Amino acid sequence: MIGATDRRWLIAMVGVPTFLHVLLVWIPALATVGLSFAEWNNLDPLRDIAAVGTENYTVIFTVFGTRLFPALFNNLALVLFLFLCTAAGMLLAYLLDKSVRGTALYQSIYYFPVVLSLAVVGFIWKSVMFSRESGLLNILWPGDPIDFVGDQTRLFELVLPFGDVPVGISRNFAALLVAMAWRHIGYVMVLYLAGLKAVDPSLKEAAAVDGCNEWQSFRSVVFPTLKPINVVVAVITVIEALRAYDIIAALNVPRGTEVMGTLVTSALIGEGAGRVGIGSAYGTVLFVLCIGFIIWYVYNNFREDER
Amino acid sequence: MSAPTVRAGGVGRAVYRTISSIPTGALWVIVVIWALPTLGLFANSFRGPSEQRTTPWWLLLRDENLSLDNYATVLGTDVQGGLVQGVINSFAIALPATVIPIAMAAFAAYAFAWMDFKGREWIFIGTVSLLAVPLQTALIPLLQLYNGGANQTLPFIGKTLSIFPDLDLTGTTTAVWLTHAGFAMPLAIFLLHNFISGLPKDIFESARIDGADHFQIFVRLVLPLSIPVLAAFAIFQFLWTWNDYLIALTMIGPFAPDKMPATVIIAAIAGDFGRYEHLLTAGAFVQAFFPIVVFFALQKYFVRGILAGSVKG
Repeated sequence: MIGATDRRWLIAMVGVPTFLHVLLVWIPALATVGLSFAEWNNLDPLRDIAAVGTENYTVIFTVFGTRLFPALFNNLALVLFLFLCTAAGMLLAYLLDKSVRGTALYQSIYYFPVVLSLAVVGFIWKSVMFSRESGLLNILWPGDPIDFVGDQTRLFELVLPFGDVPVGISRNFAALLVAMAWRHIGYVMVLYLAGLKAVDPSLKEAAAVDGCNEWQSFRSVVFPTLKPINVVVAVITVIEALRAYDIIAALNVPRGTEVMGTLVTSALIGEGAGRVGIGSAYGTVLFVLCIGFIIWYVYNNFREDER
Repeated sequence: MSAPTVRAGGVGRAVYRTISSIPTGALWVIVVIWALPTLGLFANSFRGPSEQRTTPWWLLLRDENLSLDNYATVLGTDVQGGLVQGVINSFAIALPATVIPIAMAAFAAYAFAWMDFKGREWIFIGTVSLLAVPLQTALIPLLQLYNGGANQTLPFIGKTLSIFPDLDLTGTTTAVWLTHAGFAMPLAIFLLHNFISGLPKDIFESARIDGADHFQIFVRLVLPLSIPVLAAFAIFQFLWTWNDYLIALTMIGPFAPDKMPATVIIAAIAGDFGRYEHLLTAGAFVQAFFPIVVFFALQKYFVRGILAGSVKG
């Protein structure tokens, strides 16, 4: 029952965003997948693109395995770590909302890191907290100064059953995780503090009258009310973890902190640029990873809806 | 109070107990720890380069020459062209990159939720499935697109079809916000669709009976109801685009230094072999000023918008 006017609006309002999205995201992303089977320097004309089959993948999984596997591991660690931060941020927000006065003050303190770019967050931690001579953490630390940003020795190491490359979290990546947690927990708290203000207090009272203890009322009343925030936060957490690039690029640490974002970028632009085939192969791996998360999410959502 | 009738158990409860046993004083300690990096940055922003490098920031009162020099320098034009132009460029990117995708996504989300048309599910899934895809995966083809347009020579006929004209967008702010708009579309449509599809069906039916077409329903009913959720997304998108480094760096950085947004300038200040690194302190505050204003201005909408989808539960 769509009339002529409606049809015109529909074409404009769904057609234009779809066109933009297909043109700017789908086509370039698929072109990247295509380029991953080719060799090309992007300074050369398009006709110089030469097909090389799966050679780029062979290269990144064998010769460059020492870079690819640690980067993949760092990305996955980042996803898990940011989810832990999310849980911590949610509980902290709940407790703060319940018990601490001086709302405006503590909110401003948590908001500040949220509005900073990750590149700036990296710099702040490097100079104010991590610096050898004047960083707070090194002054408080009783032993020799720690090179938080440069030390790439691993905290632990796992040997993969394939690829023969040990992976693990290096010390400088752990330091970077701390800096990211500072911003991410703030992010999550901002969202949940906003949400908690909107939870109807009479619901909590009703739960108390019905004999719920505090954990039960949190789990059965507050948490479900916050469901829309949970979705937003989960999506944002995954996006931030997979997109991670800025903070690592800003700290400019050559080894130990690579993630997929930096591998792709460094093969395409900057030093050592022009290896479009290799960069595209990295990009395709990242693309598959991102799509995987969404498919997993959509699948779970559908299953939940069916229940 | 009667005994709890439902046994809640497991890890969640243990974690919750531990955390709720933290006294209020300890929560304040966490707040103070949170403030430390910001305080340090603020203190350092008044100190000279050698003081910043050699003595801890909390000793700033011992310094003799505290000054606003760092602020004066980043606001002037001597270092990397200065942040004033950078902030203007950031606005030229962040405003269209926020407003345009939201405006487009709102109606698209409405159409996906309440209009029946062919291919609805597939277009929706096709859009939303790229929710988490980062820009790197499309970088080189995008640069090619902006530099030369998209032309396809048709096989057999030999005719060249221009899908996207060569607008020579390399090194322009347009290239940057266009990219942000494209990449923001999935998340915007996803979040707005979550909300709009949860609106009660009755209001649409009665409006249809009154003879309203979809566009009228959208403008008169859906838009006013969606303002909080639009504001919430606007905050995200503004922060994301204002703070973006990668897209601006690759699309503007090497081509047009006078079009660089604040983030790229700040990183360039830090880069230059650390010579101007001390200026970053002041630069960070200048760069963060506008997002803070935006945040507090939109905050009251934000509180309502973030829970808006809970109608559906």
